[in-house]
Amino acid sequence: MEIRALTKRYGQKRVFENFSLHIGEGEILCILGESGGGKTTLLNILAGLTSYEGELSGVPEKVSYIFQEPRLLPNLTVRQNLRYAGGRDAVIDEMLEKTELLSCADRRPSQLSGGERQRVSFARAFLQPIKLLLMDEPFSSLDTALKIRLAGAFARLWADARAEGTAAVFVTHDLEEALMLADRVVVLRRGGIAADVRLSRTKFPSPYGAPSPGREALLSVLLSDSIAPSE
Amino acid sequence: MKALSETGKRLLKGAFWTAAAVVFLFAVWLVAWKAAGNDYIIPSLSASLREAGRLLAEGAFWRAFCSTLSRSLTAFVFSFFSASILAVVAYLVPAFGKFLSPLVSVVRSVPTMAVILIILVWTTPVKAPVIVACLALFPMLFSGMGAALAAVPSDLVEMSRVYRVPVRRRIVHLYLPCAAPYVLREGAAALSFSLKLTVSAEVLANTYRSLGGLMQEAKLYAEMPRLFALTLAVIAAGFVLEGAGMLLAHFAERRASWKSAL
Repeated sequence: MEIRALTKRYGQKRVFENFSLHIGEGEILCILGESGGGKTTLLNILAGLTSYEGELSGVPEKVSYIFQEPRLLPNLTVRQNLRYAGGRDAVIDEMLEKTELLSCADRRPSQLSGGERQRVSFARAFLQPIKLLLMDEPFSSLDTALKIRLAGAFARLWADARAEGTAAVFVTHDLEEALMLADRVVVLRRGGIAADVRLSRTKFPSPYGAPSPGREALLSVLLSDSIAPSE
Repeated sequence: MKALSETGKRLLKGAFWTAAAVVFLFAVWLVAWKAAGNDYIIPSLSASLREAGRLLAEGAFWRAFCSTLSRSLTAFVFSFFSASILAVVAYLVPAFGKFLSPLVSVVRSVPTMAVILIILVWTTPVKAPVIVACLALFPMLFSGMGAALAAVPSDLVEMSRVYRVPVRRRIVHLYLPCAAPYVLREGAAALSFSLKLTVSAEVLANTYRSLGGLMQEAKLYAEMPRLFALTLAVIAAGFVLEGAGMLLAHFAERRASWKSAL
């Protein structure tokens, strides 16, 4: 998938100007950057929720999106929420099993913990075959133990999707989350790419906080104030 | 008391405060009657209640009551459905909403009681009260519907767009459960208001076989107890209509379980 010459402004504020990005098949691309840097805007453009100028090629019309908040209908049970999003019962049961939520299937969101609600939104994202998965800070406001547990749930869901060539674009401002899941990290700064680093891993997801070859490169970019040419 | 459920206790408390309010109003009436000292200005409570009893036994009263109720319901139903349809279109097509907004403001600003004199030239005293009630109800219901639709959480609307949820499913599981309680409460208030408007317009139009017409007649013959009794009848009917509407809204809310689920 290609993003070419993307331009997006909100009034006088320029978010992207002639921005380009390649998203590889089957890769988890993490977009790192400071708040207000355009990360969520980029996801919304890929999801078709926001207008833009530029060219998107290879980007499917139908995507899945894991939002920062679970966005579940409060009057429906977990199983009904997944049916609402178009899931069939057999697939719903499979996803609930992978996210360890089978016992919660008939509960309403108000009866679930924050982590459980977010796991439901993860299950929802994998109900149908998709070519692009978008994730907007899906682990924010969760403690470390929950993040690790949720990453494990994601890994179980991701295995089949990756085999079918699904790509994921995952946005965060937390370096450790990026190092845990991403194959490649792009640092956004002032509407441009400050760094584009490919990560190597022996395990998926990588242990949270574990040493990583890409950490030093990314840290130096995050702490500097300049835009470096992308690799 | 111990055996009463929470709902029973709540209803009892509500009934107590309603009764307290009614007693207070009657006390105010008593004080005003004493202060006026003239039954042609403010009749006594007992005389008015006796007259109300006589009214309830009159066939003419019930025929007038049914006609008035039928007119107010016609105005309400027409206003409710036209406001709902236009509010939905305005929600889906913001440009249309912007176009409609000043028109609704104009209709809201129309002095309805004065306009009835113009409407009486164009139509009959039977239809004029319906038109006047519609003119007053439509802006109120349109704004209420618009607010109910705007209250549907935008993040859930966005999620439904991303996951390509079919329109019918969105209406049934998202829009109706969220908007219905607001709409029903707004509708309950409008129903009672419709009755009040219709009666007022009937008084001006001197509509045949109507509560307003009976009030105008009572005023002409200075039958103050009868006039007050008819007023009490309209108040009681409005109270019952609004109460029925609120009860419906309460059950709709519980069925949708939207608020309790949040």
